[in-house]
Amino acid sequence: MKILVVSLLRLGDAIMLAPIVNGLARGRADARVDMLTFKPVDMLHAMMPNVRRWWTMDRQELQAGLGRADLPALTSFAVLDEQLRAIDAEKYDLIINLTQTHFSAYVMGLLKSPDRLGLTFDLKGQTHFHSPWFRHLNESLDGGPIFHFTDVFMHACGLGSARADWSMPATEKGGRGLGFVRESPRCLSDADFR
Amino acid sequence: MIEILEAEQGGAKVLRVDGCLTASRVAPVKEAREWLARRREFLDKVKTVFVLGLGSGHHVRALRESCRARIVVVEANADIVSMHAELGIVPADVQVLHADSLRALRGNERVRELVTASFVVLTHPASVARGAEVYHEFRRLLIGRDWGTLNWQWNMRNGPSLDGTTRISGEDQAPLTIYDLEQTELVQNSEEGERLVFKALRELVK
Repeated sequence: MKILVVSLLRLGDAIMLAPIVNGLARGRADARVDMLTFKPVDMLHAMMPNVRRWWTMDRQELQAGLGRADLPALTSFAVLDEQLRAIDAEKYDLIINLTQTHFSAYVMGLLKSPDRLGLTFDLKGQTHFHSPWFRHLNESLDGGPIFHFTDVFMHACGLGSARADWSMPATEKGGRGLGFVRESPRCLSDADFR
Repeated sequence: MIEILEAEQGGAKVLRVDGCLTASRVAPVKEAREWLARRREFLDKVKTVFVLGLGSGHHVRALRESCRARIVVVEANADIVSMHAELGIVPADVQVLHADSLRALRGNERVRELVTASFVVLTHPASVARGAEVYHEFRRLLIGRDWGTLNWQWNMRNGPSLDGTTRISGEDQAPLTIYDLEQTELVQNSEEGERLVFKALRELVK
């Protein structure tokens, strides 16, 4: 079963999805989990070995193509359209949107799949969640959310009874960074890892 | 008149056309790499890179070495195109088109086909300096940020005609942006899927 998890926010949001990705990958013997994120977030790939293929969108580049006079007016349109077609060619059995943004909802509406979960704007502009759990994201009690969004996503994906597996294996690069910090606590730059 | 000179550093060949150098006489390869480093957007995403101006070809070679997209060079001077068979700087898988007018470029079947998919446009400054007028028109056609050229590109994609109204800001000479596209007949008449792509992109600049 080919599953695409859509997380079109920032790095920290994608890290919080580790239990869902791990749960989906282990939920079925034939499960294959891929991710779609913005570009910098794919640095997590080494720490999420359960993700087979990592698709990335370059948000800054798409934005530049929309407004900059030296780039063709239709380049962002064509690049996004072609990338979505390439993703469609993978023929995912299930697409899960774990992002609550309009952009991700439109992307969900453009991708084709027999089964989907999460915020979607269809071609007629109608909104779908495909699970009542997503509605709990907007509920609050005494000014604060009732559920943590990771728990909402766990339940929405049918993993509510599973133990949340937050494990993310250390990488060689991360190990070197930890060594530097232990030797002399300071902010690290890319040069420290070369 | 076209002359072939040798660069002072490394001995790379440099063309001089009617007394004007088409690349650095000192270090043309280094110059080409620096030119490329200034414009990297979308080079690893698009299907085609149009390069306006062949010059001595070092910039095209530098582009080929770091970009997997199809490269199409548009050169207005037929003699420069002929000379490159002798020079051997431009890789064989780069397509070089000769077009000396906007009409010729618009009518080129290869160009009409390639603008239906993703592309970017790079300009070679030394070539543009020689033939400013024609390269300016080529660039305007391919950038597509006025109604006429955008309409042409959209028609190549078999899309409906643009609405005839002016841009939102009312400044006809200013380049188009996604704000204009969102409000036009182009989007209103598009297929549902295309309309949704525009709506998605619009979210990125809210």
